[in-house]
Parts: sequence; structure tokens; C-alpha cells
Amino acid sequence: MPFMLLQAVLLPLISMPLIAVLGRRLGRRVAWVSGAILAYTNILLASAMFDLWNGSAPVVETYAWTNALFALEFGFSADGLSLPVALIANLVCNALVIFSTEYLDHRIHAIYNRESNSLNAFYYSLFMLFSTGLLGIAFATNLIEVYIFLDILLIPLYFIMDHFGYVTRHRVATMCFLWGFIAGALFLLGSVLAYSQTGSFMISDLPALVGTPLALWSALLMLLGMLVKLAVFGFHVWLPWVHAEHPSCIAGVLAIIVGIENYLIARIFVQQIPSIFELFSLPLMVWAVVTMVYGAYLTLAQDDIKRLYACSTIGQTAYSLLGLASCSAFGATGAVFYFISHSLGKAILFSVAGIVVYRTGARDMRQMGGLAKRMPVTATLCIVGSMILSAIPPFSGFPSEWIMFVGIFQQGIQGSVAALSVAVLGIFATFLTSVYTFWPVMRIFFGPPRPDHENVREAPLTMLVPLLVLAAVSLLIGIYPEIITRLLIPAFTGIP
Amino acid sequence: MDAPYLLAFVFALWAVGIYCLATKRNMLRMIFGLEIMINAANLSFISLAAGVPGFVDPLAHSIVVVSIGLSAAMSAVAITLVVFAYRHYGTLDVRELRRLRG
Amino acid sequence: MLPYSSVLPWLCWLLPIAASLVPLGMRGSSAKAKGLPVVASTFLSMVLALSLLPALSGPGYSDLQAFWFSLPGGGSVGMGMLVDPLSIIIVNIVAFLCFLIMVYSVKYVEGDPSAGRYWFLMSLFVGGMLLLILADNFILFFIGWKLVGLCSYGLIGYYYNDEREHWIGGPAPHAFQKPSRAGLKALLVTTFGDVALLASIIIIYIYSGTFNFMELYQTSSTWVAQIAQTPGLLSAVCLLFVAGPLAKSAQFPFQEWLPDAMAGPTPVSALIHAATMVKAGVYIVARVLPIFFLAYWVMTPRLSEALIFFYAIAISGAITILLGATQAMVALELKKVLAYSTISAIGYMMLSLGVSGLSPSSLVEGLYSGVFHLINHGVYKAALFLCAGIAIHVSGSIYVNEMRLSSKSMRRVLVFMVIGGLALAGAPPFSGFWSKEGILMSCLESGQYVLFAVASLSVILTIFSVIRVLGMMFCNGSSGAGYVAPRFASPTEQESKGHGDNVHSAVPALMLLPCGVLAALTVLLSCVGPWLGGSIRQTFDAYLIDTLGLPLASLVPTHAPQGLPISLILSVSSVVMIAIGALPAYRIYVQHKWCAEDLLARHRSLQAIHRLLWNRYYIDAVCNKVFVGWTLAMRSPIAKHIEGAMDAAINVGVPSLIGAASRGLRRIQTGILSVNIIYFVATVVALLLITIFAGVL
Repeated sequence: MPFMLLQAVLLPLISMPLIAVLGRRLGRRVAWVSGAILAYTNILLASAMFDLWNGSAPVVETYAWTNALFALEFGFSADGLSLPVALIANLVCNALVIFSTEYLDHRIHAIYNRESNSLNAFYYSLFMLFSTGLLGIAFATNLIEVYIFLDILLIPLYFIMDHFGYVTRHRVATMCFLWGFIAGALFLLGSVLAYSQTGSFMISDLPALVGTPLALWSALLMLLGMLVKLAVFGFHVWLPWVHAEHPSCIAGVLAIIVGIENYLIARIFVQQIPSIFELFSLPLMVWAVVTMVYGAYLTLAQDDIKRLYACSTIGQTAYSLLGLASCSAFGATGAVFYFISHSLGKAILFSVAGIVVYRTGARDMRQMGGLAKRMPVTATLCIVGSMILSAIPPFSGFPSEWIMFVGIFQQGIQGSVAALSVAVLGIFATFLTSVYTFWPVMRIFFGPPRPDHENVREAPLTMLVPLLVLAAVSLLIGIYPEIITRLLIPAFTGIP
Repeated sequence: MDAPYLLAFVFALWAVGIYCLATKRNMLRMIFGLEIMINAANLSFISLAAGVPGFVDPLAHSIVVVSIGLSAAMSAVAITLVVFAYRHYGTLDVRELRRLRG
Repeated sequence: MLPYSSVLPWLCWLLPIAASLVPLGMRGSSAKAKGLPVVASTFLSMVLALSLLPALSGPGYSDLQAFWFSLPGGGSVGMGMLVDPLSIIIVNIVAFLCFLIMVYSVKYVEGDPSAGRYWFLMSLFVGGMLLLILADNFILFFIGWKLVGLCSYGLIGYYYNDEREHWIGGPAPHAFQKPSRAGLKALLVTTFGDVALLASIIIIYIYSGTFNFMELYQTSSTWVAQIAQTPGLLSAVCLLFVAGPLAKSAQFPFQEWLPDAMAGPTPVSALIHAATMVKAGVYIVARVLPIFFLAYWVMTPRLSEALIFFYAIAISGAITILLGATQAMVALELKKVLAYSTISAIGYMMLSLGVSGLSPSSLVEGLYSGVFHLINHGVYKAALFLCAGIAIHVSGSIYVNEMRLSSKSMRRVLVFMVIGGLALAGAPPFSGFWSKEGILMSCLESGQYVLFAVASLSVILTIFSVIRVLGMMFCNGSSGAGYVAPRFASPTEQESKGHGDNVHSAVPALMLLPCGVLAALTVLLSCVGPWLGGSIRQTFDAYLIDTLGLPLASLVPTHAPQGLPISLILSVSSVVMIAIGALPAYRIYVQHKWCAEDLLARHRSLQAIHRLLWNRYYIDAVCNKVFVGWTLAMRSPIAKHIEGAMDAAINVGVPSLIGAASRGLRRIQTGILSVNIIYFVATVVALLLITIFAGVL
């Protein structure tokens, strides 16, 4: 199909005005239009992935962009590394658009005390930008493109948070925008430095950076930009606020936005400049383990159901960082695979949290208990999400996690005792994940039912079916990991 | 007369004018300071024109003549404003005006 | 290759997993109807497992692999079923016990509205267990292992609404445990072990490049030597590996989840704790045992770090034997007594497997007697648990001192429990005796006299607890009700559910049938004990020497050969131990000649021991305080002082800083002409100076 990637990336962008106009008439039913458009791009991507899986060459599209000052090409490249990431990102966006229908009306009621078609139109048209941004980042071939799509993602995030978030939404929206912007600026600075050394913004030209005088600074700045968005320990303070105060219908997308920096690190550092990245290997591994352990304990400290899963994202993205920092083929493959699996699991968990908040009106887990009787499917989905995060088979968390840890242990064994202890500590942090995912399941869903939750009903089908689809995808990948590994492995040849 | 000495004198006049503007409270004195500064500017034109050996270009002098007229007009308007302000506030002190402004 | 179809082992575990989804879709059917697919599939699995039995007579093993998914670096993970004597024997006993327990469950869950969930979890559990036994590589095995753990979480916490009637523990004023918490505890403790096991599997993979068991055996001399080149790494691998089975099989120091796991329905307790899940640990230890044995005894130079594997298992097993046997002597809940005796019995199995590697002559002895004990224990413990379920159902109470069952109307249950109990204690000629003899013999052969002493002295404690329980249940357990202290209130009528009389007088036949079958099987095993043990021993002998290629013949004589005299002395000493333990118990609890309460009241040392044992050696309390309590206590300091401080510093501090700077700078905008003129003058002067000095410089 000609212009397949261009369609996939730009179609949501172009459809924004259409959806805005339609939304004013249709209200929340315009979600189905958005869903249809995203489903179409999903089919495009899935067919591309199927072709690639069967052995055809990766799709690369380039369009000349500007020849002023410096030649810049606008390109999209769908190879084994970017296609699974893009497909999962698009899938989650698609699922969450359908999920948002009832939830959004609930938020609008809660904040503005009225029905509003125009607000619905606003939300659904802005939501399409998420898909554009994520796919753009996944398929980008040069650093400026990456920067542009990174910042494109900030626009819908800011506006949706500002209009539909919880109590402190204005401040938190500004906070989110500023943090994202600073991270993007650091990344841009690094890429400009790289340009000054190599003369090109193309990602595939980055290997020429090795050996130049400013290579370390350029890499460091780009890495710092990524780490700020990844919310590692020290830079993580924005994440609990943003993830907790946003409307749960975009929660899964936020989790992908935070995690897609892992993909970028894999693409830019591990694939193109591994020799420079190896200098950062041990400090990054230590930093990642610190983040994992701290994230786990912080998550245990939470009583608010949304902040709980927000803090858990801190630790989970650090897993992928640990895998990437091990600079091994197993670690990198496992890390990207784990990011994909975590996106699915976290989307499910956040959406479950949204369902619980929607139906019970309570956010504090100390006021919850015994909900499994009234919301059995939701409870099952919560357990499924917890299984995905805790790497319990047969879901996708298990193969991704152990593949990643093979790489981490490889690095640990070849390296010093410090590296080995980092690896062991890392794998024990996965035990902490089981604790902080299954304990809230008990607090929320088990135990005697509460009298003030007499009228709680099960979530509507539009909220449940997308989550079940995501769970089914995770199950499929977990039973047959070849779907993902066959695509990821060729991307990391050449690394020990 | 050499231009540098004249210009030094112009600078001194200008400094006097700035000093008046910066430190005086009385509105009329501030206008006098402004006038002195304008005179300094005029004098600078003339002194630079005079510094040229040979025939003096009358352009500078024409400009000065216009400038004198302008400054007279400006002073007239300014003093009118001061008179009105005095009638309204009862004082010529700028700091009083600021204080009353609230 | 062995002559049978290669699809059968696959079907063996796939059928229960497929059947698990059926009850979920059968909304509106009765609980019994929902169970039908599950019972049918377990029956088929049992038949399929039986069909593998002929392969025992043939040589070797069968491992048919298929490609599953590829790994970086060119490797791949395969999937296949390994059919060798170890897996054939264990899969048969497991499938058989699962089938009987499913039959028992049909009646047990009658009337339960959420029975669909019950059958789903049970069937998934059976499928996972069969998968882990038949799997031919570590990854597939680990999937079954984790599935079993997950289903046990769901089944132990089955009564998730925590209704008062399902609480275990007590009696008041002692603490109770709720089912949902018990399920979570089981999950987390076993997950901790699983993580360690995964770490060691990963390290093994890095060095060996394969997950397949047979390939690991065959190439073990290469990769184990490479691991040993890094000092301490082999010990780390051993200890990490051992943590998994020890946690799953509830051995010291991970044993605390099993007594609390009695919160689930009785068939679940039977399935998890008698028949299957706890045996999974024994299975995997037996599976990798030859590798570590080879590492020490066969390789030159001997890798002494590999011995840590055996010492860890043996010592942990021995400690657990003692822990279980002593705690069973004072427990008041019937299922708790059975739980403690389970961990004790598995302690015996672990001990046997552990000492098998401590001397070449004890390898086969230890391996076969561990597996033999597994078979026997599975049968008699399942019988005991199912009978316990009947007893609780009939009497309405979980405490043995309240049951007051009539030995006339519950005659059959009494007979079955006596058979099971005596087999448990290892009384000759019951089945437990034959396998325990093998275990004690292997301890002697490997020269571990301390462990031998522990194991054989525990027989006294075990028989005491068995007779005590049976006496309290059937012989009107009013005396010997335990130590009555001022702060230990005796159970009131309100506390015990039911009236102390027989609430349901009729024992359902469908529940009695499996018990009867198992009791009969126990008797059968008792009769054929020596011959069965001998043939298992020969099978393993052939397996280790021919299939795995261990040169045992050249290694064997390091201890004096065991002839008839020593085994006779061993048997006689066991009988003596049993007599020492049985007599006091009989007098106290059955004949009521002595009174336990008076004994306790007179000796303060006995009171102290009783308190220690009642509180489970305080291990549970300490673990709770240290792990759970500390984590809970850390919550608010972390949230407030660390996260709060960082959040305030960055998210509030930086904007405040910028705000303060901006407010400070705003003050230079005065709007006063004079001040602005001064700025102007200052700028002009500065520019002047700059031009002058820049020009000069």
C-alpha cells in the first residue's frame, strides 16, 4: 500500500477538524468515528507487521522536507524494532478511545455540571494527536522529527489534563507541559551537538559520532532528555502528580508516552552508538535499580488508587532501562519487549482504576473492599493486569522479563561484583512488583463488601471490551512470543 | 575654537541638565533642566559645525534655529501643564504628586 | 524412541487447561454440572498418564521437541515433553490423585453459586501441574510452576469475601487468619522463591546455552566447570536454585504459608498440600539432582561448591521435619495438624534427596526412597485430607477438641483415618514405613548421623500427634483439650459453629468413595511396599547408570555395604520409636488414663514448650513483624519525607525560586523619572568606559 506509514501517522492528524465538527453534532458517539479511524491505521500497521514477520523488507518512506540551510528529509522507517512498538501504541490508543466514552461524560459532569457536545468533540479530536505523536516517534528517521513528535504529544496532554483532570488539574497540566518541554529541549540540544559533529540529523548517520570531541556531551544531553521523560529517580517527581490527576481514559497513553523513551534509547543509543552507550552502562544500571526499588516502595506507600499505578510506572519503566543499560542483545530485546508488555498491562490497570473510581466514586483504597462480588470482570482484569506486570505466565510479561534478565545477568557476570549484585537486586525487585500489584487487588476487591457500595454495578461493555482485547493481545504474545521476538532480534545484531 | 573643548563644555552643560532632571523635585526646575539639556544639544551642533576649517556649513545653524523654536514651544506646553497641575494639586513637588496618586 | 504416540503427553496437560474454560461459560448450570467437564478431563489425563506406564520397562527417555520461539544470538526455546521414569511415576500419581479429588469436589461444592470459578481454577491447576512434570525444558517447567502458584492463590483465597465462617486460626482469643490474606501470603512467599529460581535458571542458561533438561545433563561437565571458574558463583546458583523448591514445598525457612493455606476449601487443601503443588519442589530437585551429583562426585577436579546444593536441601528438610512434627503435637485445628504433618513428610523427602548427593552409595537409595515416599505420602495424605473434609462437614467445627464424632456412625471414616494416620507415622506394616526405612537407610549410608537421628526421633513425635488427633476427634476430646491457662479461654458454645452434635448425620457417598479408594490403595501399597520400592529402585538405578551415564559402579564403596543386619536393626529401632511415641498418646487421648492438662499444669517447662509450639516457634510472628510490619511502617516516611521532600524541592521549590527572582527584579521598575534618568546615566557612563577601555585594550 503506497504511503502506508504516512497515512498511519498523518491520518489521525488530518481527521482532527472532521472529528471536532462531527463531535459538536454527535457528542460522545464521535468516539466511534475516532475509533474507526484508529482501527484503520491499526489494520495498516498490522498488515505491515505481518509482511515483515514473513520476511519482507522493512518499509522506509522518505519525503524531502527542506533544503534551506541544511538538507533535511522527513522519513518514516518501519523495521522490526519500530513496528511492534507502533502497533501496540496504536492499539492502546484505539482501545482507550472506546473506553473513554462513558468515562468522559462522567468527568464533564463532575467538573462542569452539564452535558457538553463541544467538550466531547474537543477531547476526541485532540486524542487523535496522541496517535500521531506516538507513531511519529516510533517511525522517525531523524532527530528533529523525534523532537517534533515528542513535543506534539505535549499538546493534547496539556489540554486534556487542563480541561478534564482532577482537582489540581491546571497546575498539574502546566507542570506536565513544562517537564516535557524541558526534556525535549535537552534532547534537542544534544541532537544539535550531534549535528555539529556529524553534519547530519539522520539517526542512521549517528555512528559517525563515535570518536568526535563532543560525542560524550551530545550523547549525555540526549540521554538526560530521555531520562527526564522516563521519570527515573530524581526526575520522577512529576509523574505521580501527572498520572494521578489526569482523567483515567488517557492513562494508558500516558504510560506509553513515558515508556517510549525506552524505545528511543534502544533506537538511538543501543542500535547506533553502542560504544558510547557502554560508558554509561554501569551508572545507568545502578540508577535503574535504585529507581526500581524506590518506585516499588513508593507504590506500596500509596493509598490513592490512581497514584498507586502512577508510581508503579516509575519502577516498571526502569526495568526496561535496566535491560537497555546492560548493552546486550538479550537485554535490549527483552527491554523493548517488556516495554510493549508493560504498556498493555498498565493500560489495563489504569483503566481498571478508572472503572473503580467511576463506579464507586472513591479514590482512596481504605474506603474500598469486597468489590469483586459486584464487579467480577473488573476484578479479573485487575488480576490479569497484575499478572502481566508481575511476569506471571501465560501473559506477555513472563517471556519479556526473563529474556531481559538474561541480558542483565550476562552483563553482571562479565562485569564486576557490583554489576552482578545489581542484577540480583534487579530480579528481586520483580518480587516487589508482585507485592505491590497483588496487595491492592486484595484491598480493593477482596474482603467483606462495604455497605456504601450497595449500588455499585459492573462496568459497561464499552469500558470492558477494549480491556479484554488488550488482555487477549497480551495472552497471545505471552503464549507465542515469536510474534515479537522474530521482529526485534534482527534489530540488535552486532551487539554482544 | 577647537571642537574638543567646546564638546567638553557641551558635556558639562548636558550633565547639569541631567542632574537637574534626576534630582530636582520642583516641576519648574525640571523643565529648566530639560531646557539646559536642549541648549547643550544645540551647542553641540554649533560647535561641531565650527570645528570645520574654512567655510561653515549653515545646515547646523538652521537646525539649531528650528530646535530653539521647538524647545520654546515645548516649554510653553510643559509650563502650561505645570500650571494646571499646580492649580489641581496645590503643589509643584513631583514626589507629592506620586504620593497623592496612590 | 519409545513406542507410543507423541501426542499423548501433550494431551495430558492440555485437556485440563482446555476444560477449565468450559465451566466459565456454563452460566445457569448447577455446580455439579459445571464440574462434569473438569472431572472428565482429569479422568482422561489419568488414563493418558497410565498409558505412559509401559514406557517404564523400555530403556531411556523420550524427549520430542518442537520449536517455540527464537532468542537473540541465534538460540531458540523449544517446547517438548520429557517422558522418563521420574516424570512417568510422578505424573501418574499426580493425575490419579487429581481425578479422585475432583470426584470428591463434585459433592463438596454443591450449592456454591460461584462454583464456575472453583472448577476453572482447579482445572487450570491440574493442567499446570501436569505441564510442569512433563515439561522438557526449564521455561516450560517454569510456566507450569507459576501457573500452579497462581491457581493456588486463587484457590486458597477462594472465599475472598472473608466471611467469618471461613476464618482459620484461633480459637479465641488467639488470632485468626482471613482467606484473602492467606492466599496473598502463599502467593508472595512462593513468588520470592520463584524469583530466586528464575535467577539461577538464567545464570545456568548463560553458561550452558540451553534450557532443555536432557541437554543440560549431557553437557553438564562443560558448563558446570565454567560456572565454577568464578569463585562463589556455583554456590550462588545452588542457593538461588534451592530457594524455589523450598518455598514451593513449604520447607524451612519458607514454611509459614502452608498452615495458613488451610483457609481454602478442603479439596483444595488436599490437592495443593497432599497431592500436588508441594510435590513440585521435590520433583524439580530430583530432576536436577544428577547434575549437581556429577559436579561433585564424577568431575575432576571435584567442584566442592556443588555440595552446598545437597547440604542446603538436606538440612532444610531435617529442620522442617522437626518443625512440622513438633507443631503438630499441639495444634487444635484438624487441617493444621495435617498441614504440619505434610511439611514434615516433605521434609523427609527433601532430606532423602539431599543426602543422596552426599555420598555416591546413597544416590540411588536417596533418590528412589524420596520418590517412593512421595507416592505413599500422596495417597495417605489425600485420604486423610478428604476424611478431614468429611469430619468438618459433619461436625461443623474445624477444631479437633469440639468435633466429638461418634465412632459408631462414622465408622468408615474412622477406619480410613486410622489407616492413613498409621501410614503417616510410618508404623509397620503400612506404606509409610517402607519408604521411611529407605530414607533412614540413605541417611546412614551417606554418613549423616545427625540428620539420621533427627529423622528417626521425629517418628516418636509424629505417632504421638496422630494418635492425639484421632483420640480427640473420636474419643470425646474433652480431656487433653490443651493447656488451659487464665488467658487461654476454652472455646465457648458460641464460638464453635454447630452444636457439637453431629450436624449432618449422613456422610455423602460421593465424598466417602474417594476416601475409601485411597485408604484401600494405602493398604495395597503397604502390602506390596517392599516389592514396589525395590522395583522403583531398580528403575532409577537403570536410569541413572544407563540413561544418564553416571559411573556409579566405580564410585560406590565408600561405606560398609548394607546387608540385612543393619536394615533389621533399623526396622526394630523404628518400631521401638513408634512404641515410645504411641503409648503415652494412647493413654492420654484414647484411654483417658492420664490427663494432659494436669501434666502441663504441673511442669512449667512443659508449659513453656507448649507456648513455643503453639506460637509456631514465633517464626510467623517474626516474619510478619519484620517483612510485613516494616514495609507497612515504611510507607508514610517514604511518602512524606523522601517523596514529599523531593516533590517540594523540585515541583514547588523551583517555581518559588523563579517567582522570588522575578519579584526581586520587578523592583527596579519604579516608574519614577528620576530613577530612570539615573539608570540612563549609568548606562551611558558604562558604555563610555567600555568603549574607552575596549579601545585601549
